[in-house]
Amino acid sequence: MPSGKQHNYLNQTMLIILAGLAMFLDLAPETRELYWFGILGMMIGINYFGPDLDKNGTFQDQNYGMLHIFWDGYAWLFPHRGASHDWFGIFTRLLYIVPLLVVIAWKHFHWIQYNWPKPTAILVGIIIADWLHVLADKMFSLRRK
Amino acid sequence: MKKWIVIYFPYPCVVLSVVLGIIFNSATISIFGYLATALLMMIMNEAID
Repeated sequence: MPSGKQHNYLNQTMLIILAGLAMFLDLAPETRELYWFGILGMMIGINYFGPDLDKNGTFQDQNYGMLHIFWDGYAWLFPHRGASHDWFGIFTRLLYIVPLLVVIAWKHFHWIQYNWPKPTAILVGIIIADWLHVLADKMFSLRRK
Repeated sequence: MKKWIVIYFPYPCVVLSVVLGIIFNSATISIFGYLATALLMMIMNEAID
């Protein structure tokens, strides 16, 4: 499997390519705005929500600084390269932070009610970043077989 | 003019924030670079309008 650093470089390169794609697509201003929200989601996904949160001391784990202990429970629940490294792995991490998401949704209910496409675009970006990691792992496994 | 800025300006800024984030091994630089770009875009949009 590619190392954490290789995953990071691969995902950041894809991020730059997808961001660059915005220059060549003839998008409506609203769609373009959503596209950039998606890119932000990807950035968050690469740096803070990667599948490697199931292991202590990884790139994503270190990005949380002192708060990395919050993810120790997740690492305990999901062994490294287990369910967290599957297509639905991102949803296990989202479920893990459900209390936090509920608080955010509660506090910003009105904003979300009228601007729901923006948080949705961020979520899609996070999922894309995660799936790129899983795809790289799967392709590497296939090549080794 | 406005269209040109809206389309082409964020790209080098995002690339720069990602590259700086990789160089300094800091996600904070990437995210804040991106958010600074978004803020700058908003200000420029307002100014042009």
